Amino acid sequence: MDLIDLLPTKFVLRDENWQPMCSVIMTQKVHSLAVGGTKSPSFKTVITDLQQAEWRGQPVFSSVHLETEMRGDDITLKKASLKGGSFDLAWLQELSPALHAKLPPLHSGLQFEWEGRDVRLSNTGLVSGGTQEVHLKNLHLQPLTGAGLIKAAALDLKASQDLNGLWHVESGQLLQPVIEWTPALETALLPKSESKQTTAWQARIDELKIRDGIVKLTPTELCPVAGELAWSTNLEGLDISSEGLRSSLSQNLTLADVSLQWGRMNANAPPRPFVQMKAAALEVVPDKLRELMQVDSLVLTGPHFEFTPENGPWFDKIETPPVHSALKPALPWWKQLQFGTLTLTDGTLAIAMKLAERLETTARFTIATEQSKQFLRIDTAEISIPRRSALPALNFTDVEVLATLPEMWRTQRLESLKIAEGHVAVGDALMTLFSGDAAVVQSKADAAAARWSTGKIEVDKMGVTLMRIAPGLPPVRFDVNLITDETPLDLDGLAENVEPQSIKLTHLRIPSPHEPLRTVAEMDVIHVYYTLDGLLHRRIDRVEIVSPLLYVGEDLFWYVENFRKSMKGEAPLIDATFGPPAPPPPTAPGWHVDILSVSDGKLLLAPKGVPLAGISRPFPFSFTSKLESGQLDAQFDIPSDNYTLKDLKLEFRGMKGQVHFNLPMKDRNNNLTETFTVEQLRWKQLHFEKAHLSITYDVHGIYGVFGSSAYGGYVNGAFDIYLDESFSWDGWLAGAGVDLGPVTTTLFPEYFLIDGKVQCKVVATGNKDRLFQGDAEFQNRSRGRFKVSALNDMIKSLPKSLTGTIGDQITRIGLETLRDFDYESIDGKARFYGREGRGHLRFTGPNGARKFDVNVYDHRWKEEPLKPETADAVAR
Amino acid sequence: MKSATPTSKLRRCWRWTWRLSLFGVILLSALLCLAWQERVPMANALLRRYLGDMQVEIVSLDWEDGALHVREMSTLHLPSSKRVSTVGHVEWRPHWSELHLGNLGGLKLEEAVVDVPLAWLMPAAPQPGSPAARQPGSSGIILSLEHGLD
Repeated sequence: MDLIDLLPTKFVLRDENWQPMCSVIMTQKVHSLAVGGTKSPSFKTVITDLQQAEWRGQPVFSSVHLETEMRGDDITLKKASLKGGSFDLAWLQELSPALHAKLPPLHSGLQFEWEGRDVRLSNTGLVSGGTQEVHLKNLHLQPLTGAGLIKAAALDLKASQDLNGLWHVESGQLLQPVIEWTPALETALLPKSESKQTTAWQARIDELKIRDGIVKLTPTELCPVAGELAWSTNLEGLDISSEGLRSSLSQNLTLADVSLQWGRMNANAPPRPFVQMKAAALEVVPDKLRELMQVDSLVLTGPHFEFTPENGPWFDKIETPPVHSALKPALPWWKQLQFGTLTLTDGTLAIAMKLAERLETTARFTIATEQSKQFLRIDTAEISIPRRSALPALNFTDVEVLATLPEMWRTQRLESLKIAEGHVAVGDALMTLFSGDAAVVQSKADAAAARWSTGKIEVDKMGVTLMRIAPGLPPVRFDVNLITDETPLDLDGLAENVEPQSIKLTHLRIPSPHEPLRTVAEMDVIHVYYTLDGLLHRRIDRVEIVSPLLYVGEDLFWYVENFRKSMKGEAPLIDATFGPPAPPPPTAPGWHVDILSVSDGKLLLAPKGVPLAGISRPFPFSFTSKLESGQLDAQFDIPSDNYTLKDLKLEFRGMKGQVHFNLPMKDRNNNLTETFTVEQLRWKQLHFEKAHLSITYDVHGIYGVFGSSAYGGYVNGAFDIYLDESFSWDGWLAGAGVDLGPVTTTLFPEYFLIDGKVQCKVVATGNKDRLFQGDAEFQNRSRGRFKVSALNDMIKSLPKSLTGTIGDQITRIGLETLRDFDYESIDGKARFYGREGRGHLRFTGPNGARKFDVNVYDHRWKEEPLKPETADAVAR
Repeated sequence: MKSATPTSKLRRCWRWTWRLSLFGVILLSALLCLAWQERVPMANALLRRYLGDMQVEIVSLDWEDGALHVREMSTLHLPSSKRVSTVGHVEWRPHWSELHLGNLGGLKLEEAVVDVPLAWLMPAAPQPGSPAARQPGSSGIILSLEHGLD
């Protein structure tokens, strides 16, 4: 036929219910149509116009224009255009259920326009795709059920197929693509099915710009990360195929407002993001990336990295590859990257991990690239253990690390490391950090560090503060300077390059933990000799303490008791003054001091923090010992000297002794024990020879045991003086074979004299103000004489014997008989309550017996007891 | 005289032949005139006879200006009693000089409406054992295209 001229014709397609599904008005002119024959059908040109296409009453497109030409077996679509088009994927379900069933279960729709030219078809299919321009708007794709969305405001593409059949995206622009990735969307797009055979395909993007894209992530099975980021990209000369990306041109990707969270955490409390970043710009040539793992440029602006147990399982599993391995494991891809330019500005890092305690690390850093080398500059870095100390245990400022990526990962070597300033507080917090289970982490960290080396290390000023090198010593600070070449990066390797050093500390004072204004110890001079290697192993070579003054009193014992409980893991004593309870005790071993030397020390008895009245003169001592794991076991001598307690009228002649001092206390009674021997102990005119006295102190009191030779016999006893408000005390004294003659002569020369050796026992309790109760007993089964000296004056006032009146003679005889009594045994007992008491003294002899009953009353004025003021008492 | 007899027989034969031909022409003309007079019912009858379930009816059939004009043609699908198409005007302008070559000339359709169910355009469900049934991946659209291109 020469011409088929189809003037506007309306086509209506109906469903099985005869309801209109789609309609279109078609105008068509077919020139030279031939039907039949070997080339049937054939035509010269077909010009088709479609208008007002609708689907279920909704517009599909407003117009389509097609100009088709046929030459030989080829059909050429010379010109085609579509305007005002819109599409809904749901239409396909009725249009082609079979095809629809193969598609993912999604809602989808878009508005589009299209212009095509020079599309050639033949019997074999598409010969040339020609040039296509597609303008899509309001694209959206979302799962049938559940959240999730992929949408874009507009996509403009101009594509063509070259002579080789390769499709080119000559130019393209995608505006405001939004991807809200959710489990529902992932399930719809990436169903869990067996892997399908991939068909080889290839396309080339000459130019494609993506602007103002947004990605919102919800945790899914494949992507456990939640968050949001904005992105844009410029793609140029990029070959995309089923095998990946290829291009010799640079591709750009920029990200902004990045915020990513670990998604598999407690949904009730969304975790903090582990990455936040203002912007990131990536410039990469795919061919270089694939072949050389080279990234031309990566610029990160204002990133904040945060890895804590609360926002992700970052440190749940820390693995270290074996040190000695014949086959080195392949590096992960990100360790193989080399950068033309790697720039990071205003970076911050926060890491928290649970070792023995929670360890928190913060750092501000930048990265720059100069001459293909990467400079990492850490402006500030702090490592702290919050439960232990509010102050950081480790901080650095101005740290510069020079390395070349990726050689750094391959050779495990830094080219240089420079620390301008830093400080390490080596205390319990840091030392106990890797104890317990965390020790495994430390060993792994050490093993990992052992593989690393540094070309040059320069430490300008690294302050080290030893918080508790020994009980009683305050924090000690010193600086470490270090310049080394080709050094292993582990601590031992560093330590070998530091010379032994010493510091001198002066005028140190240990305040009382109970009362800060009081003093536990004063030390004029302390010399500390150490090496860095020793410090790393918690060892100090030598500590010399010159002329310390140790106040022996409850403050010292409070301090010691806290230390002991701390070492044993018990709850510490509650601070009587202020402050919250201390954290759980450390479990790491303490410091070792190879030599702990104390010279010209003074020991001052100060039960309440002030020198004990009458014993204001300190005991001198010196000793040399060692401190192991925080334990001190020292024994030092007090040289022989005379001590006089004037108030007590006590005099110690030739007293010398030993002091046994151990920290922490091994048991309750022997943390500080003084053992004295006294050549002669004098009290008034009484004197005791070869006396010995052992005194033990603890937080509750002073406990003494003594003994001595006394007047032909032996006296021993014990006393406890408690460090309460009134210094309550108790004690006992026993004597055996003591000749009472010199004693009574010395003590009561004007009243009486008892001759003979007795056994006696005195038990008493009281406080500094009064005697609560005292019991005394003494017995003598040997012969002796009891003489009442007080009667001598009366007898002397009488006329001499055989003179005077009969009365005088009788009186003299009576008084002399009463004064002198030879006895064979004595039995005496007395009990006193305060100032009052009673007792008896019985002498039995060949001439009879004497019995004295003694009652002691205190008739001094006393305050009347307070009258009760209760209502009942008033009523009574 | 011998020559006159065959001549007269032949002449008679031609005469009768002429008369019969003339009569036939006249009769044919009469029939054609009659058929032309009744062209629309005849065309409708023919269409009804040969188009099976489709009942095509035309309202007028004219020859004007060297072209056949069919007006108001409508197609009724008898099983469903649905009118599936109407054409306001069909014009067929034959190219007489090339008609013997199979060139039918030009065809022009105006004011046409095609109103059919979608199922008519979809490929029939493949019979069991057919190639299409053995190729579940092939689609009806592709098959249609291939058939069309063949």
